[in-house]
Amino acid sequence: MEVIALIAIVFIAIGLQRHIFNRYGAYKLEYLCTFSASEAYEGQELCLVETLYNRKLLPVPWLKVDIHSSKWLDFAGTRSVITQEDRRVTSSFLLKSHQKITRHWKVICLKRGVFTTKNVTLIWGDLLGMGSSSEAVEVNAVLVVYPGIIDLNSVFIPVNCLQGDAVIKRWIMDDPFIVSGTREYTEADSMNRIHWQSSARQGRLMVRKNDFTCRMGITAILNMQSGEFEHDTVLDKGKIELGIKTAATLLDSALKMGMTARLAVNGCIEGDEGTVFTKEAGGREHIFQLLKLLAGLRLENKKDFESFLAESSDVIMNNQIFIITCYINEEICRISDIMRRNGNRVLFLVLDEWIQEDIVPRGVDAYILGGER
Amino acid sequence: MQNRVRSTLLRLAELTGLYSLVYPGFMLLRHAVFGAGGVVAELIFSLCVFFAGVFAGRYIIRDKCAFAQRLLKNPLIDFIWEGNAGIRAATTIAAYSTSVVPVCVVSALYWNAGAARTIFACVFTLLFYCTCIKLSNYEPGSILSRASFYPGLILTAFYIFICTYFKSYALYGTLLFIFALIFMMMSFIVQNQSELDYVFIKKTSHSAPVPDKIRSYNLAAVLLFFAAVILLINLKGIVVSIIKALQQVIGWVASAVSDFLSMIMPYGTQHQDPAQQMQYPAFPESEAQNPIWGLITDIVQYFVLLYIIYKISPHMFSALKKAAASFSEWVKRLLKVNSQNEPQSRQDCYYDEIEPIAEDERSTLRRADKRLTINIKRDLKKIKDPVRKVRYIYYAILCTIFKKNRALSKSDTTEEIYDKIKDCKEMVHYVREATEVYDRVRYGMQIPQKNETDLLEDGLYRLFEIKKL
Repeated sequence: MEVIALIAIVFIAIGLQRHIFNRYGAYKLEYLCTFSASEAYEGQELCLVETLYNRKLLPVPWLKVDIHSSKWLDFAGTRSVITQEDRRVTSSFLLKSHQKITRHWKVICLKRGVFTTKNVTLIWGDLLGMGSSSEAVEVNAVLVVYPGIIDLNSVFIPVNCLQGDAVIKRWIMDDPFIVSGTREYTEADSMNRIHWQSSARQGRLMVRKNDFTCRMGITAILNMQSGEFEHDTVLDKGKIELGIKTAATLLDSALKMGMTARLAVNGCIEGDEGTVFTKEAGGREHIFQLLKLLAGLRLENKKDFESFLAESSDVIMNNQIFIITCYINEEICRISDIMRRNGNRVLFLVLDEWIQEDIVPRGVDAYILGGER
Repeated sequence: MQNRVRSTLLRLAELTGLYSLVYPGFMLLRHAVFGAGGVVAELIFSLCVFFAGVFAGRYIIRDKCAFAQRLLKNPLIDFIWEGNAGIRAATTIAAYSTSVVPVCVVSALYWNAGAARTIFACVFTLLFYCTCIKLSNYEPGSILSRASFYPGLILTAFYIFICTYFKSYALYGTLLFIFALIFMMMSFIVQNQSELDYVFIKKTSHSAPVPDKIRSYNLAAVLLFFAAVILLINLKGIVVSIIKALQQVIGWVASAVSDFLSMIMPYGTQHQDPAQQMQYPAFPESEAQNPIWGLITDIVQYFVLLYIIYKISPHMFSALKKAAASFSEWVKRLLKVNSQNEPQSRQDCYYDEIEPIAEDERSTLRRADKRLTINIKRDLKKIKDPVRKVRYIYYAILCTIFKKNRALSKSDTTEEIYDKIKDCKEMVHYVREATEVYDRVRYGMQIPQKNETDLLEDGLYRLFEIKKL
């Protein structure tokens, strides 16, 4: 009888602890997963923050959290497993009674994109490994990684400076406030002629030079075709990514200079099959919207670039147009000439190391890859 | 703790558990064949053989051995062992060869005990030693797994059964019980640590180890669980009583069924023995010569005993309560060591901030509510004076309203208090009645009727049911 009682007690104790831990392990257990910032740039470091609350007396002796993220968000080092486009990280916790744990993972954004961690899986169990339970928790943590900013003057060189001993650096983007429009303040100038932005840039008081300064907006037109006869999917992804960074740099410069900006791309973003052609506007919010579009661009083209450019040429007036493309042909040059005659200043940023020089129309500047990338 | 040290300790714990399972069987078999004698000496010797076998298995058998490599430079030995592939084989043979030592020792020890005894001891020592060598290289968790725990438990129960029911084996009772506890404890520890390895390392492909904090906490929790099991084992008397009661119930049911069957099938049935009657404890017989004097003495003894218990029990209860509270604190401290903010724990790719969180305010208020309700019900039953009862009921109403987040101040009159809860339809009528009765009793110096106090009391209990005002 005593032997039976002994066995019964041991079995009951084991079964009871199994029931308690498996059934009540997740009771009053909360899990949150967020990024420390909702937006970041390529190469920037931020944190992925996991927060766990255990609001009950019963501790959780072990808890495993499986996080599925994108492989382009680098964190967890040797604790992560990369499969194709995914990164799987296992986070292990021990939660005592009435305890909160906040875990900060260092994340490096390797590539631009819109990354969403939809849900994670929590797994917990009892002390003796008699059974475990799991639950999927929705987190919906979204991170927008903007394309990185490059130094345009180091990456691109002007086509008409290919011959010679030294590459002369020219400003790709003219600063309207320095080249034309302002001069230094004198005692004779009235206070309402002071141009504060220029004064801040120069570090001394500047006034408007004349009342007819022409202030152009920027239009960045990005060609998603890496080859002239390419269809749908991009073949040379590296070049197109560089093109996206170039467009991002131009928009960033526009923001810094207080200029209006527009983006036109013959590609599309997730959830929208149409090409991208935004309105022209200025301000931080608008520029970051455009950067977000660039972040979410899929590497495929939706329309033939020549047709897309021809449609855009009718709409864009009095702008500084930057055509970012991997190739130039006669049709593109013809349309760019039309744009120039419409009062726009046109500039080619060619994502290649060579172009046929005589194809570029007069009055249109062209830059090719020649410096550091 | 370094991985290798931890792995070695875990393996040792596992083998200790296995030893606790196997050795009692050998002990009982030896007793059956050769009778009692030399238990302690054999136990010590078996422990030495056990550790020697584990040591030989862990430290002699290896894949790389400088000594073996030097030997392999000899062309003849190299020809036999075929380069590096032979090092493990050579070291394995060397390890098993060392079994000669314990066999020689045991044969020397039992030389004078007779050939049968000596052969028995030598055979078992050899088997035991070689098994220890073999198992010392197994992965932790592969021997005392979940699958082997239950059969092991039944085996230990079988050993205890033999000790309990065969008097000649009774002297091993305590020792076998200790072995059973050691087996359980080691099984729990090994299963817990193996489960952590399985969940965090084997089920994922990455190479990061399980944090030491999780391992140590789980180990402490397992030991606490084991202590709880020992505590429950000490209450096995209750379980035995329950089993006996169940036996009786089953017996009664069986006999009832048998009687019923014998009624419907009068031939071919045999009457079952009647169910065992419950045996009541017999009263102790009085040893007094004069029965009346004996009775008086017994009555006085009982009353004195009752009086002592009556006087001591409040102190005992408060002492027990304090002991229970301090034990609970100790357990809480054990389970949440450093309950104040723990320092940040840093790893190479993340850092943790650990802090305690306050108990859920709602659950604290719910508990306070419940205590208040229990206290009020208990106090109301004690009060017999109707005036005091009405005044206490009104006090209880005020407490309930206040606890349920309605602002009251000391300067409020009864009408003002009533105005504050007018919007609550569930209780407005009851509070109106209670206020009227209270005003009459408190300020009008009237004595309330019994039905009035009963109605107020019932209404108060219904008020407790309202979750939100």
